Amino acid sequence: MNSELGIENSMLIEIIFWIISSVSIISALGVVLLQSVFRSALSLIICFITIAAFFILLNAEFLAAIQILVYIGAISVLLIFAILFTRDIDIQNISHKFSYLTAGLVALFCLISIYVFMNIDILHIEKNLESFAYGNSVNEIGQLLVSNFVLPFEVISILLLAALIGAFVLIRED
Amino acid sequence: MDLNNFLVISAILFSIGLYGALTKKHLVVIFMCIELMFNAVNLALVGFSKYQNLTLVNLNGHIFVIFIIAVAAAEIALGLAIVMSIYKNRDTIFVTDIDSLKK
Repeated sequence: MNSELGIENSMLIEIIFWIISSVSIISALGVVLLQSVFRSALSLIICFITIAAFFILLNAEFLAAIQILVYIGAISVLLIFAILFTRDIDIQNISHKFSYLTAGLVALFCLISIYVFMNIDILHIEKNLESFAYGNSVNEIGQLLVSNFVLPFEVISILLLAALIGAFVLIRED
Repeated sequence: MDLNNFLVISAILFSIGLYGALTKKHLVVIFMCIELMFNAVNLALVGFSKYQNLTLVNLNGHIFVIFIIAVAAAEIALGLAIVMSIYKNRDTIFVTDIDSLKK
């Protein structure tokens, strides 16, 4: 990755890569194998988050932000709304099986681990944040979008408008 | 951690999505698997864009990923509108029951 990071940090990045890839493959398998459609949608959201983490590992921070905004913010909500509106699958009421004790323990564990990581500073967070601030690609992407790729950019905007109007026409009450 | 790692992960995700899109009966699950395949392709494109052997910075892969995300958003909006109208008109969203063009 970055040249100023030490050997133990590249080792750390390897470990992070393997953790992210195993979580990604397991959650993708969950999309296909889980029985409840709602749960497989939640598993798909986990897979989107791991893809955003891969983008950050590949120095594409802008694409990671776009991934979180568009996929996790918009497309997942659309999918979950579609699942809730088409109710011929068995929708169990998940909130009744939810245990507040387990959720509280998980939240407590996350809080304690964040505290410990911040204090022993194993990740060298401040140094890594500085190196991320220099490796940012938003300027180049913006200049490419208005110079070399200006025609596809305009075509994409017309396509989005057409899709919006088409979805509205399909879904409205006559 | 080099290009091959990312390509293998991308291929595994794409295969899982393809399996789901070919075998599932629920239309929304098929859309979810198609989104999974889009994400696998995006991962491969960003990997190629980072690990290419050119001296100057080349971000064309990132631009392609932005366009793919826009097309995927348009596709999922239209597709879910079609799912809703099929559900309203025919009371089913299983692809084995939507076969009126076959008869």
